[in-house]
Amino acid sequence: MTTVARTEEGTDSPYALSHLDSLESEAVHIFREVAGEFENPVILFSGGKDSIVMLHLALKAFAPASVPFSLLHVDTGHNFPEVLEYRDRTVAEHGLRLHVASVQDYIDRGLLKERPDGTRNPLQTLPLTEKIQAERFDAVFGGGRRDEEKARAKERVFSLRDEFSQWDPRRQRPELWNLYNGRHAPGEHVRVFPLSNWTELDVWQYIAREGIELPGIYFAHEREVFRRAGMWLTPGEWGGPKENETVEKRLVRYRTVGDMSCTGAVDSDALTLEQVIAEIAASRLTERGATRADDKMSEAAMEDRKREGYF
Amino acid sequence: MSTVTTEELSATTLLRFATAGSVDDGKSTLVGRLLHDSKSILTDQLEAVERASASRGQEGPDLALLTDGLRAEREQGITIDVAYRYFATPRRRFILADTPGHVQYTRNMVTGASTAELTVILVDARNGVVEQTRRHAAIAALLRVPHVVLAVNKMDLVKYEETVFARSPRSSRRTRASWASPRSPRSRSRRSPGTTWWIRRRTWTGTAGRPSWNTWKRFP
Repeated sequence: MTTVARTEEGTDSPYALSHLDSLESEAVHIFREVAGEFENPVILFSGGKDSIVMLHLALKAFAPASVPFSLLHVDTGHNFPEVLEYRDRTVAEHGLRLHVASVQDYIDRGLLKERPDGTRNPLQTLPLTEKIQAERFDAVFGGGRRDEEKARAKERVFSLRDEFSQWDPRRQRPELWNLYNGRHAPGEHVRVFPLSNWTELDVWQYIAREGIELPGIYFAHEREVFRRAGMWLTPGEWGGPKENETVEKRLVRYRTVGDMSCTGAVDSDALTLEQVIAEIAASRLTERGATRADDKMSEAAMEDRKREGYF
Repeated sequence: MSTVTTEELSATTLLRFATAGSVDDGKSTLVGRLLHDSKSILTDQLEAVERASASRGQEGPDLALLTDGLRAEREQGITIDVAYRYFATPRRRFILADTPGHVQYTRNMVTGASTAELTVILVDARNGVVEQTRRHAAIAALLRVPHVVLAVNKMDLVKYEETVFARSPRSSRRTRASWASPRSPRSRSRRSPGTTWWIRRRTWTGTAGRPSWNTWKRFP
């Protein structure tokens, strides 16, 4: 955090922080603020790159002490095995406590109904919000970034949820400078987004700079996939491939990691971090546009899900 | 961002800036145009905007839809809350806060402007400096925003009258005198009128020339 950036033309001071350093210190500050302001915070951890970076920042914020938060994974039941393995290894390595909210469990108990299209992404909201209520979490860290989606671009770093976990975009609080208001009534909680100001490229450059390990599916690998709505999906019990869809073997990688039923892979031969960074820099599609079926449902799909309590 | 070069990837500094100004002075459209010119609107985003514009019966893509991301904003065609957008030039990264102009959403403008190192206050050439322009200038000063740019917009609607352009900085100087912004007693528009003139011209006529972000990367 104290690394001095090399002087660039156009900057006045040789002591200016590089963009990664200033993003990092902003995130570290947010973690420490939450540790100071809240009783029972939790980090949402999906095993995707954003939550991995978030955990890395949390470790840095409190080192050499341990992270004073537990982790929460909302398990859709359609997980990439590499990601689950990564999750368990990370939890063990850092001696963290992991909570799991299981969508499958809700479906088995009849509390949620499988959707006709097989995707379980929108179903995550209920297990997530009930877990938050049951465990009395008052601050919930999410890896959401404002550059991902136009509704996320509107959200505060500290975003209040009412007792039904709902977000009201018309009643967001003022949030000045780096002063974060964590006030909430009993039953309410605050979603905290330490990566708000990061872009996809920033995340990858930070991963490269810090040497953070990622699950293998983020790099090019051979995989059996089929084409649906312009994306390469992995076949599985969630209803694919259908009759007119053919499975083929392709060299792909994932730009995002979510529910397997609606997360698409992209054609790629990027095997290293440097190749991935070059590929993202040249991409003409946003990461969610390229890989997420759930955002294509309507113009305000993300806002509607967020209002209900989604990440 | 196909225009990103290796040099751009190593760009290390970060500039946070915000737009301000009265309602309908074109803040979101300026932002949309900036993103468009810096080639940071990706194909799927532009397609989504074109689709949404077409379904509203508009001819060209409404670039304000890029930042007006909430349902209520898109339905009413106004900005309610601050939206953040990200882009890069060869020299630096930018975090841009697009703030609302309505009086009742001023608190959201404050949120967006508080983290900015530079505020661009837009003025509609037809109306000149109005109450809300002064309010936003005052807020920028109270928040200690170090750099303020006054950008005169919609010059095509006043047929590029130089006198109209010159009027805005003059009346904003009176505003500044009462609100003495800490490190920027003079706005850019006075120090180098060509900059603002040029921003205005580039942004609204779309003639060939340097893309607008060539100006931004030199600020502050």
